[in-house]
Amino acid sequence: MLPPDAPSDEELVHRTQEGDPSAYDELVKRYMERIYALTYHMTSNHEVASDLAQEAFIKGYKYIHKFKGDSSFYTWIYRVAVNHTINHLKRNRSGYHVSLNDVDAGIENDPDFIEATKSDPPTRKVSLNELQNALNEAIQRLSEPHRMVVTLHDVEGLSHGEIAKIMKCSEGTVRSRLFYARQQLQKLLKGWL
Amino acid sequence: MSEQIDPEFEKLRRLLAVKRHERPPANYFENFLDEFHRRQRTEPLRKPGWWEQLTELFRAEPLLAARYALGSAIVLMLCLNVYLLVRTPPTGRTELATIPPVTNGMIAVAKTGPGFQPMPPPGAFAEPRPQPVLVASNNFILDRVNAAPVNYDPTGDF
Repeated sequence: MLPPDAPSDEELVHRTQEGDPSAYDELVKRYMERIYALTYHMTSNHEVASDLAQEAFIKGYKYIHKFKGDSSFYTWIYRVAVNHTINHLKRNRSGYHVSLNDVDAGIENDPDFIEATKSDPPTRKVSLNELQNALNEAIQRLSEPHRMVVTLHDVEGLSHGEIAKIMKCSEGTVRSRLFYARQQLQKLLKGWL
Repeated sequence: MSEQIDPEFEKLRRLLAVKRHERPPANYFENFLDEFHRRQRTEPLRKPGWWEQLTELFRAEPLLAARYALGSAIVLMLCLNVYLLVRTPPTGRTELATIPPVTNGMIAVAKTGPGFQPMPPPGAFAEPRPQPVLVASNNFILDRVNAAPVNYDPTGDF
């Protein structure tokens, strides 16, 4: 949560456009976790995700003069990161090894996770690492646009409208992609559902 | 932020909570800005070429790429058409239409510019040759003898 006297994104963007690089640093600090999360969930590889997140911010800085304020900076930088990540994935279709981050201890108290695993038979204790691998493997088998929609909606919690703005498509397209992606994931994760 | 989810996918959504708890190594975000500055300093050294920039643009905007491809194809087709029209020799029909009519041994040549005078036909420069006398088919050779007919009038004093 930002302190009440913190400058707005618009102000920081304006200062950056005026030639104050420290203002852009503040924007990087505000959005680095979300942009990294996006690139990480799209690639399932920490090193690649880190590179992509950094490059997205560098691109953002390079083209900040083109930002006219038609959308929020948040939407704009997400769009830069989404396009950059999808381009990277298209160029490297052969794929790379999975390098997953650790799951934090907070998951033990996550109501969604508790709810999802409580009905498991006592004979089969859920192995968190196993589940994590299965989830990442399934997500990586989706096409880039479907993976992106699932990541933005079901993992990062963005609305259909926000995703539509970021991906420059209609909300209907977002919904249909989400539906198809979930269907695919259900098939792939049949043993876990 | 999240909207109502289809109950069919409720368990899947809950399971995806695991993804939200995946975290990068400790101190990763503390060094993020320093790494950003380091990369920013090296960035101008490797400026992409125009071709790389163009392919990057087309990758990001596939619709734009399709428009450019369509536009280029149309322009190419037009150029090809113009080239073929210029280069193709005139067809038989056109030839007939352009041959000037022959009148009295003179070819009527269209004037092509101011002060243009058509060349006379080759025959105009040659010495006039004696034309052979055409002989009527029913005439006899004696008709051409320049001799007065014999006078049978009685002119003597006999």
